[in-house]
Amino acid sequence: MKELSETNHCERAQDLVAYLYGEASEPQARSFEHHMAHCSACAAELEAFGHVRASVGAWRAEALGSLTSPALAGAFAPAAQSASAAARKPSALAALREFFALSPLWLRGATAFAALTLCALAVFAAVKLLEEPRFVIVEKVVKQGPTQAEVDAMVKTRVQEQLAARSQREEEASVQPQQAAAPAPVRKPALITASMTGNSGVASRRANVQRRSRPSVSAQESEQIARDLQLIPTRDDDDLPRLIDLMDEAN
Amino acid sequence: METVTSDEQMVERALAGDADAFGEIVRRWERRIFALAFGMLGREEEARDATQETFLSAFRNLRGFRGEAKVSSWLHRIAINQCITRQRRAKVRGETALEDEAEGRETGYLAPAHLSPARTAESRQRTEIVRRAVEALPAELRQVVVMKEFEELTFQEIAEALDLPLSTVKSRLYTALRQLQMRLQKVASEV
Repeated sequence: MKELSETNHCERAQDLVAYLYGEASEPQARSFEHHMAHCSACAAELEAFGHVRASVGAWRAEALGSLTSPALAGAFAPAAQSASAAARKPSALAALREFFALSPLWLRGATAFAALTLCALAVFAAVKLLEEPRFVIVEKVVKQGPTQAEVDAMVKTRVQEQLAARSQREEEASVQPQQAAAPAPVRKPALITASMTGNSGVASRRANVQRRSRPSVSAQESEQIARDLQLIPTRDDDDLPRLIDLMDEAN
Repeated sequence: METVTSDEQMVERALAGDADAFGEIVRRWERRIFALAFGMLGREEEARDATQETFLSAFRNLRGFRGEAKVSSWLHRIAINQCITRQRRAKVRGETALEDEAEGRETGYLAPAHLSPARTAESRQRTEIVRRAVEALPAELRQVVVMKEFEELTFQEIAEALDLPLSTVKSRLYTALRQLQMRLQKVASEV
Protein backbone atom coordinates (compact mmCIF):
# COMPACT_ATOMS: atom_id res chain seq x y z
CA MET A 1 0.00 0.00 0.00
CA LYS A 2 1.42 3.33 -1.05
CA GLU A 3 1.76 5.96 1.65
CA LEU A 4 -0.15 9.17 1.05
CA SER A 5 0.85 12.58 2.11
CA GLU A 6 -1.37 14.42 4.58
CA THR A 7 -2.77 16.65 1.87
CA ASN A 8 -3.49 16.09 -1.80
CA HIS A 9 -2.32 18.90 -3.98
CA CYS A 10 -4.46 17.90 -6.95
CA GLU A 11 -7.78 19.64 -7.55
CA ARG A 12 -9.34 16.64 -9.34
CA ALA A 13 -10.29 14.81 -6.14
CA GLN A 14 -13.97 14.57 -7.10
CA ASP A 15 -13.09 13.15 -10.52
CA LEU A 16 -10.90 10.61 -8.74
CA VAL A 17 -13.81 9.46 -6.55
CA ALA A 18 -16.17 9.25 -9.53
CA TYR A 19 -13.60 7.25 -11.47
CA LEU A 20 -12.93 4.98 -8.45
CA TYR A 21 -16.61 4.06 -8.09
CA GLY A 22 -17.22 3.81 -11.83
CA GLU A 23 -19.61 6.71 -11.91
CA ALA A 24 -17.64 8.88 -14.28
CA SER A 25 -18.98 9.26 -17.78
CA GLU A 26 -16.91 7.91 -20.67
CA PRO A 27 -15.34 11.29 -21.55
CA GLN A 28 -14.72 12.08 -17.85
CA ALA A 29 -13.07 8.70 -17.35
CA ARG A 30 -10.83 9.12 -20.40
CA SER A 31 -9.92 12.61 -19.26
CA PHE A 32 -9.02 11.44 -15.75
CA GLU A 33 -6.94 8.53 -17.08
CA HIS A 34 -5.02 11.05 -19.19
CA HIS A 35 -4.56 13.23 -16.07
CA MET A 36 -3.28 10.29 -13.95
CA ALA A 37 -0.55 9.62 -16.48
CA HIS A 38 0.99 12.93 -15.39
CA CYS A 39 -0.26 13.18 -11.72
CA SER A 40 1.51 10.75 -9.38
CA ALA A 41 -0.53 11.93 -6.35
CA CYS A 42 -3.83 10.95 -8.00
CA ALA A 43 -2.40 7.64 -9.19
CA ALA A 44 -1.13 6.84 -5.68
CA GLU A 45 -4.47 7.80 -4.14
CA LEU A 46 -6.40 5.70 -6.59
CA GLU A 47 -4.36 2.67 -5.64
CA ALA A 48 -4.58 3.38 -1.90
CA PHE A 49 -8.33 3.99 -2.05
CA GLY A 50 -8.71 0.73 -3.90
CA HIS A 51 -7.14 -1.06 -0.93
CA VAL A 52 -9.40 0.82 1.50
CA ARG A 53 -12.45 -0.17 -0.49
CA ALA A 54 -11.32 -3.78 -0.52
CA SER A 55 -10.87 -3.75 3.28
CA VAL A 56 -14.25 -2.13 3.93
CA GLY A 57 -15.86 -4.51 1.43
CA ALA A 58 -14.31 -7.49 3.23
CA TRP A 59 -15.65 -6.24 6.56
CA ARG A 60 -19.08 -5.72 5.01
CA ALA A 61 -19.15 -9.13 3.42
CA GLU A 62 -17.96 -10.92 6.55
CA ALA A 63 -20.10 -8.99 8.98
CA LEU A 64 -23.33 -8.92 7.04
CA GLY A 65 -22.80 -12.42 5.70
CA SER A 66 -23.02 -13.83 9.21
CA LEU A 67 -25.98 -11.67 10.20
CA THR A 68 -29.57 -12.33 9.52
CA SER A 69 -31.86 -9.55 8.42
CA PRO A 70 -34.34 -8.37 11.03
CA ALA A 71 -37.36 -9.72 9.08
CA LEU A 72 -39.60 -6.92 10.22
CA ALA A 73 -42.09 -7.07 7.38
CA GLY A 74 -44.45 -9.31 9.31
CA ALA A 75 -44.50 -6.96 12.26
CA PHE A 76 -45.82 -4.11 10.14
CA ALA A 77 -48.78 -5.93 8.68
CA PRO A 78 -50.60 -7.55 11.60
CA ALA A 79 -53.84 -5.95 10.50
CA ALA A 80 -53.29 -7.11 6.97
CA GLN A 81 -52.58 -10.61 8.19
CA SER A 82 -55.71 -10.74 10.26
CA ALA A 83 -57.75 -9.19 7.47
CA SER A 84 -56.45 -11.61 4.91
CA ALA A 85 -56.96 -14.49 7.33
CA ALA A 86 -60.55 -13.42 7.77
CA ALA A 87 -60.97 -13.05 4.03
CA ARG A 88 -59.75 -16.53 3.20
CA LYS A 89 -61.89 -18.62 5.50
CA PRO A 90 -60.52 -22.14 5.47
CA SER A 91 -62.89 -24.96 4.65
CA ALA A 92 -64.08 -27.18 7.48
CA LEU A 93 -61.91 -30.00 6.23
CA ALA A 94 -58.85 -27.74 6.03
CA ALA A 95 -59.53 -26.41 9.52
CA LEU A 96 -59.87 -29.96 10.81
CA ARG A 97 -56.64 -30.94 9.14
CA GLU A 98 -54.88 -27.90 10.62
CA PHE A 99 -56.26 -28.70 14.04
CA PHE A 100 -55.04 -32.28 13.90
CA ALA A 101 -51.68 -31.21 12.59
CA LEU A 102 -51.11 -28.69 15.40
CA SER A 103 -52.69 -30.51 18.34
CA PRO A 104 -50.83 -32.87 20.66
CA LEU A 105 -51.48 -36.58 20.39
CA TRP A 106 -53.68 -36.86 23.49
CA LEU A 107 -55.91 -34.06 22.30
CA ARG A 108 -56.27 -35.66 18.91
CA GLY A 109 -57.21 -38.98 20.56
CA ALA A 110 -59.73 -37.36 22.90
CA THR A 111 -61.32 -35.43 20.06
CA ALA A 112 -61.59 -38.51 17.89
CA PHE A 113 -63.13 -40.48 20.77
CA ALA A 114 -65.66 -37.75 21.49
CA ALA A 115 -66.58 -37.52 17.82
CA LEU A 116 -67.06 -41.29 17.58
CA THR A 117 -69.21 -41.33 20.72
CA LEU A 118 -71.39 -38.55 19.36
CA CYS A 119 -71.82 -40.39 16.08
CA ALA A 120 -72.76 -43.62 17.89
CA LEU A 121 -75.31 -41.78 20.03
CA ALA A 122 -76.81 -40.12 16.98
CA VAL A 123 -77.12 -43.45 15.17
CA PHE A 124 -78.68 -45.09 18.24
CA ALA A 125 -81.22 -42.29 18.61
CA ALA A 126 -82.13 -42.49 14.93
CA VAL A 127 -82.66 -46.24 15.11
CA LYS A 128 -84.86 -45.96 18.20
CA LEU A 129 -86.91 -43.26 16.56
CA LEU A 130 -87.53 -45.41 13.52
CA GLU A 131 -88.47 -48.50 15.56
CA GLU A 132 -91.09 -46.93 17.85
CA PRO A 133 -94.67 -46.19 16.54
CA ARG A 134 -95.31 -42.55 16.16
CA PHE A 135 -98.84 -42.21 17.65
CA VAL A 136 -98.50 -43.88 21.02
CA ILE A 137 -100.91 -41.46 22.69
CA VAL A 138 -103.68 -42.26 20.31
CA GLU A 139 -103.33 -45.92 21.09
CA LYS A 140 -103.59 -45.28 24.83
CA VAL A 141 -106.54 -42.95 24.58
CA VAL A 142 -108.76 -45.15 22.47
CA LYS A 143 -110.32 -47.73 24.83
CA GLN A 144 -113.23 -50.09 24.46
CA GLY A 145 -116.43 -49.18 26.45
CA PRO A 146 -118.18 -51.45 29.03
CA THR A 147 -120.07 -54.49 27.82
CA GLN A 148 -123.88 -54.70 27.87
CA ALA A 149 -123.79 -57.01 30.94
CA GLU A 150 -121.65 -54.53 32.87
CA VAL A 151 -124.04 -51.71 32.02
CA ASP A 152 -127.00 -53.75 33.22
CA ALA A 153 -125.25 -54.60 36.50
CA MET A 154 -124.36 -50.98 37.13
CA VAL A 155 -127.97 -49.85 36.50
CA LYS A 156 -129.29 -52.51 38.82
CA THR A 157 -126.90 -51.54 41.61
CA ARG A 158 -127.77 -47.89 41.26
CA VAL A 159 -131.51 -48.53 41.41
CA GLN A 160 -131.07 -50.55 44.58
CA GLU A 161 -129.05 -47.77 46.17
CA GLN A 162 -131.69 -45.21 45.32
CA LEU A 163 -134.46 -47.37 46.80
CA ALA A 164 -132.51 -47.95 50.00
CA ALA A 165 -131.88 -44.23 50.39
CA ARG A 166 -135.54 -43.39 49.92
CA SER A 167 -136.70 -45.86 52.57
CA GLN A 168 -134.09 -44.53 54.99
CA ARG A 169 -135.29 -40.96 54.48
CA GLU A 170 -138.90 -42.05 55.19
CA GLU A 171 -137.82 -43.74 58.42
CA GLU A 172 -135.97 -40.62 59.55
CA ALA A 173 -138.99 -38.42 58.81
CA SER A 174 -141.16 -40.55 61.07
CA VAL A 175 -138.63 -40.43 63.94
CA GLN A 176 -137.92 -36.63 63.81
CA PRO A 177 -141.12 -35.25 65.58
CA GLN A 178 -140.20 -37.34 68.68
CA GLN A 179 -136.75 -35.75 68.90
CA ALA A 180 -138.00 -32.10 68.43
CA ALA A 181 -137.91 -31.31 72.19
CA ALA A 182 -134.23 -32.22 72.51
CA PRO A 183 -131.70 -29.47 71.56
CA ALA A 184 -130.06 -30.06 68.25
CA PRO A 185 -126.28 -30.46 68.36
CA VAL A 186 -124.67 -27.38 67.01
CA ARG A 187 -121.23 -27.44 65.54
CA LYS A 188 -119.23 -24.45 66.62
CA PRO A 189 -117.94 -22.54 63.58
CA ALA A 190 -114.21 -22.68 63.52
CA LEU A 191 -113.74 -19.17 62.27
CA ILE A 192 -115.68 -17.41 65.04
CA THR A 193 -113.34 -15.84 67.58
CA ALA A 194 -113.76 -14.12 70.90
CA SER A 195 -113.12 -10.71 69.33
CA MET A 196 -116.41 -11.04 67.44
CA THR A 197 -118.38 -11.23 70.69
CA GLY A 198 -120.88 -8.40 70.92
CA ASN A 199 -120.94 -7.80 67.16
CA SER A 200 -124.67 -7.96 66.63
CA GLY A 201 -124.50 -7.49 62.85
CA VAL A 202 -122.26 -10.45 62.38
CA ALA A 203 -124.29 -12.44 64.87
CA SER A 204 -127.53 -11.75 63.04
CA ARG A 205 -125.90 -12.68 59.78
CA ARG A 206 -124.70 -15.94 61.33
CA ALA A 207 -128.14 -16.57 62.65
CA ASN A 208 -129.63 -15.99 59.21
CA VAL A 209 -127.14 -18.38 57.63
CA GLN A 210 -127.97 -20.99 60.24
CA ARG A 211 -131.63 -20.33 59.80
CA ARG A 212 -131.32 -20.83 56.07
CA SER A 213 -129.26 -23.99 56.36
CA ARG A 214 -131.42 -25.44 59.16
CA PRO A 215 -135.00 -24.22 58.68
CA SER A 216 -136.41 -26.65 61.27
CA VAL A 217 -134.67 -24.92 64.27
CA SER A 218 -137.10 -22.96 66.48
CA ALA A 219 -136.59 -19.49 67.97
CA GLN A 220 -135.73 -20.95 71.33
CA GLU A 221 -133.15 -23.20 69.81
CA SER A 222 -131.64 -20.28 67.91
CA GLU A 223 -131.33 -18.25 71.10
CA GLN A 224 -129.74 -21.16 72.87
CA ILE A 225 -127.28 -21.65 70.04
CA ALA A 226 -126.42 -17.96 70.03
CA ARG A 227 -125.83 -18.05 73.77
CA ASP A 228 -123.64 -21.10 73.42
CA LEU A 229 -121.65 -19.40 70.74
CA GLN A 230 -121.41 -16.28 72.96
CA LEU A 231 -122.85 -14.17 70.15
CA ILE A 232 -125.25 -12.53 72.64
CA PRO A 233 -123.39 -10.40 75.17
CA THR A 234 -123.96 -11.62 78.69
CA ARG A 235 -122.56 -8.43 80.13
CA ASP A 236 -122.82 -4.94 78.80
CA ASP A 237 -119.60 -3.20 77.74
CA ASP A 238 -120.61 -0.22 79.81
CA ASP A 239 -120.45 -2.38 82.90
CA LEU A 240 -116.77 -3.03 82.35
CA PRO A 241 -114.47 -0.92 84.57
CA ARG A 242 -112.54 1.73 82.71
CA LEU A 243 -108.78 1.57 82.75
CA ILE A 244 -108.45 5.12 84.01
CA ASP A 245 -110.73 4.36 86.99
CA LEU A 246 -108.68 1.30 87.83
CA MET A 247 -105.54 3.40 87.73
CA ASP A 248 -107.13 6.04 90.01
CA GLU A 249 -108.07 3.35 92.46
CA ALA A 250 -104.56 1.97 92.42
CA ASN A 251 -103.16 5.41 93.19
CA MET B 1 -45.63 -9.58 -18.22
CA GLU B 2 -45.64 -8.80 -14.54
CA THR B 3 -45.24 -5.14 -13.67
CA VAL B 4 -43.33 -4.20 -10.54
CA THR B 5 -45.11 -1.71 -8.34
CA SER B 6 -42.88 1.20 -7.41
CA ASP B 7 -42.20 2.18 -3.81
CA GLU B 8 -44.16 5.37 -4.32
CA GLN B 9 -47.19 3.42 -5.53
CA MET B 10 -46.88 1.14 -2.51
CA VAL B 11 -46.96 4.18 -0.22
CA GLU B 12 -50.08 5.42 -1.99
CA ARG B 13 -51.68 2.03 -1.43
CA ALA B 14 -50.66 2.04 2.22
CA LEU B 15 -52.21 5.48 2.60
CA ALA B 16 -55.38 4.22 0.95
CA GLY B 17 -55.67 1.54 3.63
CA ASP B 18 -53.84 -1.40 2.08
CA ALA B 19 -52.12 -2.76 5.19
CA ASP B 20 -50.01 -5.15 3.11
CA ALA B 21 -48.44 -2.35 1.10
CA PHE B 22 -46.22 -1.03 3.87
CA GLY B 23 -45.16 -4.58 4.68
CA GLU B 24 -43.96 -4.85 1.09
CA ILE B 25 -41.92 -1.67 1.46
CA VAL B 26 -40.34 -3.08 4.60
CA ARG B 27 -39.55 -6.34 2.81
CA ARG B 28 -37.86 -4.43 0.00
CA TRP B 29 -35.71 -2.18 2.14
CA GLU B 30 -35.12 -3.79 5.53
CA ARG B 31 -31.94 -5.57 4.47
CA ARG B 32 -30.35 -2.44 3.11
CA ILE B 33 -31.47 -0.25 6.00
CA PHE B 34 -30.12 -2.87 8.37
CA ALA B 35 -26.78 -2.84 6.53
CA LEU B 36 -26.69 0.93 6.74
CA ALA B 37 -27.46 0.86 10.46
CA PHE B 38 -24.87 -1.84 11.06
CA GLY B 39 -22.24 0.17 9.17
CA MET B 40 -23.11 3.27 11.15
CA LEU B 41 -23.42 1.69 14.58
CA GLY B 42 -21.13 -1.34 14.36
CA ARG B 43 -23.31 -3.47 16.62
CA GLU B 44 -25.86 -5.98 15.49
CA GLU B 45 -28.40 -5.39 18.24
CA GLU B 46 -28.16 -1.65 17.88
CA ALA B 47 -28.55 -2.01 14.13
CA ARG B 48 -31.66 -4.16 14.53
CA ASP B 49 -33.23 -1.67 16.93
CA ALA B 50 -32.37 1.24 14.65
CA THR B 51 -33.86 -0.58 11.66
CA GLN B 52 -37.04 -1.27 13.54
CA GLU B 53 -37.25 2.31 14.74
CA THR B 54 -36.69 3.53 11.20
CA PHE B 55 -39.64 1.62 9.80
CA LEU B 56 -41.81 2.49 12.78
CA SER B 57 -41.05 6.14 12.30
CA ALA B 58 -41.74 5.86 8.58
CA PHE B 59 -45.04 4.13 9.26
CA ARG B 60 -46.11 6.78 11.74
CA ASN B 61 -45.18 9.58 9.37
CA LEU B 62 -46.51 7.99 6.23
CA ARG B 63 -48.96 10.83 5.71
CA GLY B 64 -46.06 13.28 5.88
CA PHE B 65 -44.44 11.70 2.82
CA ARG B 66 -45.21 14.11 0.00
CA GLY B 67 -43.63 12.21 -2.84
CA GLU B 68 -41.09 14.94 -3.57
CA ALA B 69 -38.22 12.56 -2.85
CA LYS B 70 -37.94 8.85 -3.46
CA VAL B 71 -39.18 6.49 -0.79
CA SER B 72 -35.68 5.02 -0.57
CA SER B 73 -34.17 8.44 0.08
CA TRP B 74 -36.82 9.15 2.66
CA LEU B 75 -36.14 5.85 4.45
CA HIS B 76 -32.37 6.41 4.36
CA ARG B 77 -32.73 9.84 5.82
CA ILE B 78 -34.83 8.47 8.67
CA ALA B 79 -32.34 5.66 9.22
CA ILE B 80 -29.37 8.02 9.27
CA ASN B 81 -31.13 10.26 11.77
CA GLN B 82 -31.96 7.24 13.91
CA CYS B 83 -28.33 6.15 13.90
CA ILE B 84 -27.00 9.61 14.71
CA THR B 85 -29.50 9.93 17.57
CA ARG B 86 -28.47 6.56 18.92
CA GLN B 87 -24.79 7.44 18.69
CA ARG B 88 -25.37 10.66 20.56
CA ARG B 89 -27.25 8.83 23.28
CA ALA B 90 -24.50 6.23 23.48
CA LYS B 91 -21.90 8.98 23.72
CA VAL B 92 -23.83 10.56 26.58
CA ARG B 93 -23.94 7.21 28.34
CA GLY B 94 -20.24 6.69 27.54
CA GLU B 95 -20.89 3.54 25.56
CA THR B 96 -19.07 2.48 22.43
CA ALA B 97 -18.78 -0.72 20.49
CA LEU B 98 -15.16 -0.91 21.61
CA GLU B 99 -16.26 -1.02 25.23
CA ASP B 100 -18.46 -3.95 24.37
CA GLU B 101 -15.46 -5.68 22.91
CA ALA B 102 -13.40 -4.99 26.01
CA GLU B 103 -16.15 -6.57 28.07
CA GLY B 104 -15.97 -9.63 25.86
CA ARG B 105 -19.40 -9.23 24.34
CA GLU B 106 -20.19 -10.21 20.79
CA THR B 107 -20.29 -7.28 18.37
CA GLY B 108 -21.90 -9.14 15.54
CA TYR B 109 -18.96 -10.42 13.53
CA LEU B 110 -18.48 -14.14 12.93
CA ALA B 111 -15.54 -15.34 10.87
CA PRO B 112 -16.23 -17.74 7.99
CA ALA B 113 -16.32 -21.35 9.15
CA HIS B 114 -14.00 -22.67 6.44
CA LEU B 115 -10.96 -20.69 7.72
CA SER B 116 -8.36 -22.23 9.99
CA PRO B 117 -8.12 -20.87 13.55
CA ALA B 118 -5.01 -18.85 12.64
CA ARG B 119 -6.64 -17.42 9.48
CA THR B 120 -9.84 -16.81 11.42
CA ALA B 121 -7.97 -14.82 14.03
CA GLU B 122 -6.15 -12.85 11.32
CA SER B 123 -9.36 -12.18 9.43
CA ARG B 124 -11.07 -11.11 12.58
CA GLN B 125 -8.25 -8.77 13.49
CA ARG B 126 -8.26 -7.15 10.05
CA THR B 127 -12.00 -6.71 10.09
CA GLU B 128 -11.85 -5.25 13.55
CA ILE B 129 -9.28 -2.70 12.44
CA VAL B 130 -11.48 -1.60 9.55
CA ARG B 131 -14.52 -1.42 11.80
CA ARG B 132 -12.70 0.74 14.29
CA ALA B 133 -11.40 2.97 11.55
CA VAL B 134 -14.90 3.48 10.13
CA GLU B 135 -16.33 4.06 13.57
CA ALA B 136 -13.72 6.68 14.28
CA LEU B 137 -14.85 8.76 11.31
CA PRO B 138 -17.04 11.80 11.96
CA ALA B 139 -20.72 11.03 11.46
CA GLU B 140 -21.10 13.09 8.28
CA LEU B 141 -18.19 11.21 6.67
CA ARG B 142 -19.15 7.81 8.04
CA GLN B 143 -22.68 7.95 6.69
CA VAL B 144 -21.41 8.66 3.19
CA VAL B 145 -18.92 5.79 3.29
CA VAL B 146 -21.52 3.38 4.67
CA MET B 147 -24.13 4.39 2.12
CA LYS B 148 -21.63 3.92 -0.66
CA GLU B 149 -19.85 0.80 0.53
CA PHE B 150 -22.59 -1.03 2.41
CA GLU B 151 -25.54 -0.06 0.27
CA GLU B 152 -23.80 0.68 -2.98
CA LEU B 153 -25.96 3.75 -3.56
CA THR B 154 -25.00 6.12 -6.35
CA PHE B 155 -23.73 9.59 -5.56
CA GLN B 156 -27.00 10.98 -6.74
CA GLU B 157 -28.99 8.71 -4.40
CA ILE B 158 -26.79 9.64 -1.46
CA ALA B 159 -27.19 13.31 -2.32
CA GLU B 160 -30.96 12.92 -2.40
CA ALA B 161 -31.07 10.93 0.81
CA LEU B 162 -28.90 13.37 2.71
CA ASP B 163 -30.25 16.40 0.90
CA LEU B 164 -26.76 17.48 -0.10
CA PRO B 165 -25.25 18.74 -3.34
CA LEU B 166 -23.60 16.07 -5.46
CA SER B 167 -20.22 17.75 -5.18
CA THR B 168 -20.43 17.70 -1.37
CA VAL B 169 -21.10 13.98 -1.41
CA LYS B 170 -18.07 13.37 -3.61
CA SER B 171 -15.78 15.58 -1.54
CA ARG B 172 -17.01 13.99 1.71
CA LEU B 173 -16.39 10.55 0.31
CA TYR B 174 -12.94 11.56 -0.85
CA THR B 175 -12.13 12.94 2.64
CA ALA B 176 -13.53 9.83 4.30
CA LEU B 177 -11.43 7.53 2.14
CA ARG B 178 -8.30 9.54 2.86
CA GLN B 179 -8.93 9.42 6.61
CA LEU B 180 -9.62 5.70 6.49
CA GLN B 181 -6.48 5.10 4.49
CA MET B 182 -4.43 7.13 7.00
CA ARG B 183 -5.85 5.23 9.96
CA LEU B 184 -5.38 1.82 8.39
CA GLN B 185 -1.85 2.80 7.38
CA LYS B 186 -1.13 3.86 10.95
CA VAL B 187 -2.46 0.64 12.44
CA ALA B 188 -0.53 -1.43 9.90
CA SER B 189 2.70 0.34 10.82
CA GLU B 190 2.04 -0.25 14.55
CA VAL B 191 1.46 -3.97 13.95
